[in-house]
Amino acid sequence: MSALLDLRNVTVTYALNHGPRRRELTAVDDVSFTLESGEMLGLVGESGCGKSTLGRAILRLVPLAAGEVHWQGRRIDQLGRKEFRDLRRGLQLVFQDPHACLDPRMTIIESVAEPLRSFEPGLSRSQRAARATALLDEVGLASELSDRYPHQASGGQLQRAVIARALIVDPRLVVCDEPVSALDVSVQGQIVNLLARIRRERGLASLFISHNLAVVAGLCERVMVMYLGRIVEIAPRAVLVPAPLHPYTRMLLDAVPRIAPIARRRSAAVPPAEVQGSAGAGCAFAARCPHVIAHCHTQRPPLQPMRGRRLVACHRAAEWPAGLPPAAG
Amino acid sequence: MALLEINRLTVDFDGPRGIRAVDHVELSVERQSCVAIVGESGSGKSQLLLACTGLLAANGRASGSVCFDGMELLGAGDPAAQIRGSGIGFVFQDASGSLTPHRRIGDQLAEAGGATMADAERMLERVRLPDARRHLAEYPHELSGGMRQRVAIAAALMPQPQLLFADEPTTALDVTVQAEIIALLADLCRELGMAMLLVTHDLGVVSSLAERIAVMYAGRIVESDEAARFLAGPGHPYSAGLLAAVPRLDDPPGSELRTIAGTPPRPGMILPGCRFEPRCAHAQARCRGEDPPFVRHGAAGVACHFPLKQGER
Repeated sequence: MSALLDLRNVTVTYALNHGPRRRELTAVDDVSFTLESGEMLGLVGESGCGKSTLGRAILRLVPLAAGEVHWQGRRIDQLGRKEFRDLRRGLQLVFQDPHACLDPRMTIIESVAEPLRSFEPGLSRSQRAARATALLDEVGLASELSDRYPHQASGGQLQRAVIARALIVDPRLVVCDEPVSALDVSVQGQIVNLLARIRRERGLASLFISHNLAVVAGLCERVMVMYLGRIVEIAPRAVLVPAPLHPYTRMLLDAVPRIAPIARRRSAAVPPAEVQGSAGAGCAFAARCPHVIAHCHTQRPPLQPMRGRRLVACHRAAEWPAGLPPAAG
Repeated sequence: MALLEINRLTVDFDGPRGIRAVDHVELSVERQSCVAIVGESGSGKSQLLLACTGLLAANGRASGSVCFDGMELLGAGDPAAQIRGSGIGFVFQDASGSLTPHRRIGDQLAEAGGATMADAERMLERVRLPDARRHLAEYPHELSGGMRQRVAIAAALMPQPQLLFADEPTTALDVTVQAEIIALLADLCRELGMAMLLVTHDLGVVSSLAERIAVMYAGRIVESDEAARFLAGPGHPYSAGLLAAVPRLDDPPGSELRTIAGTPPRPGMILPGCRFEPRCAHAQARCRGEDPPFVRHGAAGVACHFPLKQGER
């Protein structure tokens, strides 16, 4: 049986300038992975690593420079506009900022019902409203809010509405791009729990994109770590968190704040992060890696299978089979 | 006497519906200590800092008392102007907003009275900006977000303030950079003997920096305590909820995150009773009718009729 979603060597580039001295930024660099039906896959990385671009590339919101996207066994990146549109209802997207996703001139229930107008044109107005009401109930949005406009609701309430709108066409996969980052701390957990419940009840697959490894690790069975456009590690959460194999995964884990009084943090032992363009010939992480060797600067490490159903792109990963220990505190 | 003493500080904003953003706040910051104010958006934590330094928007009015090193900062004629920069430095969330885009970094840093380019370079080294000399001639847009925040911190430190106000200094940064900036701020406070009043929504940031923690909700300080004791078990149900809501790596997979039901009240919405009552799992009839006063027990204080006892926390 083929995977629900299968990305093969996907590359996305952006033009930095045009004309004779045209330069390109490789935002997503030769990325391959599969997502099974009903699976919740986490994608973590810092801003600028290409994680949002990757999410958009799946939904064809940005063009691919190379590679293939297969959906339910069928290649979709070359489909014509109309053919893709028919598939598109199976793939939905939830963004970070709910205020930007909802039309300020539409009531919440109108926004939630809106996708039905194009995907199920046969429905009457009242049928659409009935479907939207049922979904608002499912995402836990109080019915008195449904006739309000976006500016009259809070961020958490709006994000529930955005999730309802993504679900109303009954998708198979929802790409969630930082869905809780813009929300208050006390509300973030509500939305995370909602996504987990919906996924459990509907058997929905999801690509959950976030910079917060603690949120991703709590929600997803499998986690992908991305750095400068490349996947550096894909592993089940159960082995990634206690025993990361890639030095960058280790660094991300060490950066998750721990709630402990004045936990002395290590002063920046690694070179500070700098915005870089595309990685060069070697490993993308070589410039910041505490375990770097000469080889890393010249040879790009391939994403290789390791024990425990995991893939790692590091020349030295075999040297620490039990995982990299936390940096000394 | 504490370096900064805030008494009954209240901030009101005029408008069609007047909004009280900060309501009778009491807080003090000792010399060379780090105090953190934790709260969600709209809780009034940023307005508190702005009011102390006379930087409120034109329709904002502060009343009460803010005493810095024995000097009253509230009152006619903007008395806070004398200590802005030199007495109290400011670091904001958005570093690019506090740097002038069209001036070289060296020129901006040397702006502080009597400072030379060599002082600016030393300060950039102090904030661990690699290759400091080269950056003196650069413009802010040539730096990454983390490096810009280092420059903004350097700019705040040039006049050698005794107290640093840091408003969400790491929120706009990447996670690995956040950890670096937190470590830097902690080191700088120690090296320079500077006090810090840190405002953040992130309890993880707080726990690695602050000696005291004050929690703000809907314009009020609802709890204040030494960091170690607070993190071991806060007394206010809101503080306990915030602490429990932080996702942790050692949570078992698939476990539900603990949350606080409902949403924070809109700014300016005043309830007759406790402001947290509509969201509180421990609320009783008394909480609806009677606003709980802030009651001190030694170094700690809590504004709750039924504070959690050690076992329930």
